[in-house]
Amino acid sequence: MTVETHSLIVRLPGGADRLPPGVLCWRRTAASPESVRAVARREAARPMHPAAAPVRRVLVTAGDVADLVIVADRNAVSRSRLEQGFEQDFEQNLDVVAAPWAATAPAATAVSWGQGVPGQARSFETVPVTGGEREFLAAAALVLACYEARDRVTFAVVPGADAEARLVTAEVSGRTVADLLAPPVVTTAGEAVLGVVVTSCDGPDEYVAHHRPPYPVTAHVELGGATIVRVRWSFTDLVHPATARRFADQVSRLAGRLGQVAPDLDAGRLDLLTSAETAEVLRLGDGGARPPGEQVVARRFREIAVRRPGAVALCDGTEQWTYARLDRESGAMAAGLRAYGVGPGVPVGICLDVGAALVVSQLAVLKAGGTYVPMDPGHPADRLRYLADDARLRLVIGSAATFPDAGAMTVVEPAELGREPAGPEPPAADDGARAAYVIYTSGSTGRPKGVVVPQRNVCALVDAVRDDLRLGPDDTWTLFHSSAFDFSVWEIWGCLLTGGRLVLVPYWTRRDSDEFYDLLVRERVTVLNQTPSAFAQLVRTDERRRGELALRLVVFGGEALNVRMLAPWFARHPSATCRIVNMFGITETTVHVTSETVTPSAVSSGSRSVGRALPGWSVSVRDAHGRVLPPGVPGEIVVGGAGVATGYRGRPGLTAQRFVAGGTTAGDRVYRSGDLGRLHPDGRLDHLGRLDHQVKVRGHRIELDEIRSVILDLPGVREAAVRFRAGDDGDGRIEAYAVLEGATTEQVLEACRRILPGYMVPSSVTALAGLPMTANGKVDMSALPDPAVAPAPAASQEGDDALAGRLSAIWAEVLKADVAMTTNFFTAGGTSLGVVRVLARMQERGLPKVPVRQFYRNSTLAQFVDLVRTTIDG
Amino acid sequence: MRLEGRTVLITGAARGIGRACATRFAAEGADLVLLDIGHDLPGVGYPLGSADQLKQTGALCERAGAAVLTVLADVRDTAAVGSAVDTALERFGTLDVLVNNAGIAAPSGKAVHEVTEDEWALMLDIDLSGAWRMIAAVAPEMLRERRGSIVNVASTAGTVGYRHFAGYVAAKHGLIGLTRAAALDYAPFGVRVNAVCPGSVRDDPHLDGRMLSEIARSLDVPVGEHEQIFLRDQPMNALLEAADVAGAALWLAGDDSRQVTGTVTAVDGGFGAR
Ligand SMILES: NC(=O)c1ccc[n+]([C@@H]2O[C@H](COP(=O)([O-])OP(=O)(O)OC[C@H]3O[C@@H](n4cnc5c(N)ncnc54)[C@H](O)[C@@H]3O)[C@@H](O)[C@H]2O)c1
Repeated sequence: MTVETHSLIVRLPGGADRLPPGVLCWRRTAASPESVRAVARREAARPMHPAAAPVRRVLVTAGDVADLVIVADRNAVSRSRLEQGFEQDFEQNLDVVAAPWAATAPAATAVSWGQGVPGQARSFETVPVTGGEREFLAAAALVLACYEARDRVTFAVVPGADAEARLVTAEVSGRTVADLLAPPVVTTAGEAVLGVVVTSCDGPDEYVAHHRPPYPVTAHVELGGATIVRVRWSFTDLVHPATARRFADQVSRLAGRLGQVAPDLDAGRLDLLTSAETAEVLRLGDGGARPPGEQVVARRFREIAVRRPGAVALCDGTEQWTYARLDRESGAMAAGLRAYGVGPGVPVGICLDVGAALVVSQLAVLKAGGTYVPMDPGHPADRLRYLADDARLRLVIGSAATFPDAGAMTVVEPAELGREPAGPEPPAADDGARAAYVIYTSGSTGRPKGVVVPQRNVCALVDAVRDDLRLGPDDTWTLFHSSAFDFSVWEIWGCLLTGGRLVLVPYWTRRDSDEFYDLLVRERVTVLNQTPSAFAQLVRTDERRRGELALRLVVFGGEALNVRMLAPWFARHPSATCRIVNMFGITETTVHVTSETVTPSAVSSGSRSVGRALPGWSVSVRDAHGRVLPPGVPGEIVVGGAGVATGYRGRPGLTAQRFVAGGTTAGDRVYRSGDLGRLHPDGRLDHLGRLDHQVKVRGHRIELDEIRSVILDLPGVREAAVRFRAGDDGDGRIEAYAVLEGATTEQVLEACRRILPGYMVPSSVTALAGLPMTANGKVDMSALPDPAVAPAPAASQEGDDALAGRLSAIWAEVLKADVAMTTNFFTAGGTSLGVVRVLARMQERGLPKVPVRQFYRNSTLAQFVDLVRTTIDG
Repeated sequence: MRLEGRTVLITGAARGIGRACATRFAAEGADLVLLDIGHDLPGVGYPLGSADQLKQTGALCERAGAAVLTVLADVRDTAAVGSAVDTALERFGTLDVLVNNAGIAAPSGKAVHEVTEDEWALMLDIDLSGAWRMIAAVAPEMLRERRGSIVNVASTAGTVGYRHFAGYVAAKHGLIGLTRAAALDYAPFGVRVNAVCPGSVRDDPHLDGRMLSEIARSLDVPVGEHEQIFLRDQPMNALLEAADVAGAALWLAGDDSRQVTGTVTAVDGGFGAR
């Protein structure tokens, strides 16, 4: 419905008198002869109404200066006709031409890197531009390739005002400057985000080929001879105004550089941002100064214990520990540890499940000046041994039974240590740089590596969020996560260093959503930390139970959040009563990095933002060479500031590789996260997945997480995981897994075909009853089964009675496999989520509720049938 | 510049509040279509805005940097209103804001049963139906663009009664009803409709203002003392300036009020507070 216009401004040499009599035009006077052209340009840019005549002329005068503005419908008047716009019979002789770009180069309707603000389009000129048309096109290709994060880009070129638009492609990776300056290759398929319109202009007249930009990014290059006189840029509101400006500046600058550098220079070596622009982008991602505060954990704890000795610090079942008691007993244990030779910098393993002893031990190790190394007693013996070796542990607090062949290592029960008489406690060491803990993380490749985190980092974390999250003595937290997962660092010290009450969640309660829900209600927990996967279960329990929760703050961490899962939660818990905060974090940068309050509107927009860097932390997004990328461009998330760990224990090589120089101030180290992200012009960060989830299929760079979010957004899909399996032929297959609630795998596949480009469509979609989870509550990609080829068979094994039949049917559904009475749920691929699914289905079908822990103890079908029968009978 | 690049049509722009709106909007970057009747009307007992006065408003706006189109049209004349809007669209391509300001205060000064059929019809035709005709002509363009703001200049007489002013009071009450109904019709399309209700506005000689004295004459209030008398009703103890009304109209016209529609903004020095 809008009229595409072009315009010509003609300076009338003899003033307004040059205009032949009888030429119809609107008249307007400008304030001064100097302002005539500016007013004329405004008139040229005015829209044309669809019902109005296809030509509008406005005569702008001041003194003896006169500009005639001729605006015309592009589809009715060609450029050459426009030149005759001041002839009297002009209106009678209009010709009809098609807008050049309408013919062959469809404009894109989305800009992946644009981050635009609706209603905020931008148009401006860049002058002067050194270099000619070839340099400009090459520069545009390079900059576009950077923004699209692609090696090959497609854009439109309109050579001349009345010529047809052509789509061209340019390959930029591994090319020399000379390669880039060669004429681009014409192509036929694709949509253009960028269109370059090239026209020549002579003299004082001004031609504008388009007023509503035909492409999301349109560059109108005006040539005077072989040089560029001016470039008019138009960005639609698909591109953020700040990004628009930067994009245009980059192209201009680069066009100039291309003419000066050696032709055989690798084009990839050209910097796209100036150092000033880089500094500006770094500032965007900077969370600001670290708030001041005590840097030693034990001293901070002591301050609180002295101030509020009677306040409850720990709640372990029915037992309450005051701050005073925790202080006293950890002091006694610290004395015991010293007797074992623990002193500054000595690592002490703590292999205990969640409980008061765990917290006391951690505090005691810190008080003794040591470094604790959390070990999950549920982990395989091999892994524990590896940790003990790698961390050079000589002392482990735990149960001797867990370490059958401890060798030279001493394993001591916490109770034994606590018995030492506590003399006057020596003052805690005052060095915040000393390691507080070493937590082992397993990357996607290689052996677990120990991340060494100094005390001051832990304190900085608490200081960074305390005010914003209003953490204080009225809060009740849970310690839900295994101490081997650094989310627990946040749970323990986030609570105890702000004077809160920490409720220790027993092992079985963590695995039973109902029991955990009861605990939240009973203990009136106010601050809850969860992985999104675990919270998804809690949301369902809450929908069913509708209990009275006292939660005022839920913090997500550990994995990417799909905000849509929160819709049912917000329906029951308005964000004003319970704030939802999504935090992106990494063990190597001390638990958290950024924080974003999730609102119901973010849920409806499907935001992937993880927010801004915490005060003291900083984020930037960089390319493979470590160069800072501007907002909008995807790249590796790099974290700097107060949270950056010391490094990997005993791995100088790996440490040097991941912890590199390059902070905002000289000497600052930053951590290369291996996560893929994108900065917003306001400094917020989008988390886009793992870099190693980025795979190449038939030459296309693919984001597995992008496929996952498409599947997750489908109706009838509750959870999804997507993985890539390399094939023998060098290519691989994309395999999707989904927990379905109404949809079928065929529908999911069908929708993927509809929404995703062909090379991103999974080759299989497998329905699962639940996604396998790691001990830390994240999706366990390695435990996904082989993809289903045919729909899963129905239960085939009949039990020896009706109850067994019903239960075996449920097992078969959940396990997606045949089951026999001898089948062990867990060896047949059942997961903790599978357990929940079985129990939920039993409940749906009127079968009794059995406690989760009983399930684990009766894990063959025969045992399970007996268990259920005794529950019914009893 | 709160109306940079916007095109505004103002009716009754030859003088008074219409002129105050026009010059204020021009200073805020708007281009203007200025409409007025340009001649007197037999049934209205005082002179209306002249073509010269309209030109004068136009000149003031141009001086402030605006592009101006002046149109002579009677808001009672559907065809004239239609062609005025067409001309505006030829010239400017779009219309973003409509200010329905044209209005008459007389014939008034009689009890309800004494008002003649013609007097009643004339009053409603201009003060109420005129605004409806303008909206009917302009709204399609705003709906097409999915944006726009319509400001109807009503009066405190749109919210309370005045003795011997039945036609005017009825028309202005009607205008507020029209405002609310239109707001609902157009809200889904991003077009907003609001009313401003001025109290007593001083007749500013620079604006060739004269309505307040005409109201006084209708009410048999001695002209000369009328300012003092009208003042008593306004707790701020001052008559309004036309610019005060223009300021409210500017806010309603621009994006600062982008979530405001179907509302009635009183600019009355506190008149409505009691
Ligand atoms: N002045 C006040 O105290 C006051 C108080 C409340 C409301 N208002 C309202 O404010 C508006 C403007 O009032 P003003 O004080 O500027 O009065 P005004 O008489 O000075 O201006 C009104 C303008 O409307 C024009 N007009 C009248 N009938 C017309 C028609 N049929 N077609 C086209 N134009 C026509 C007139 O020519 C005149 O230029 C009116 O709607 C009035 O009811 C005024």
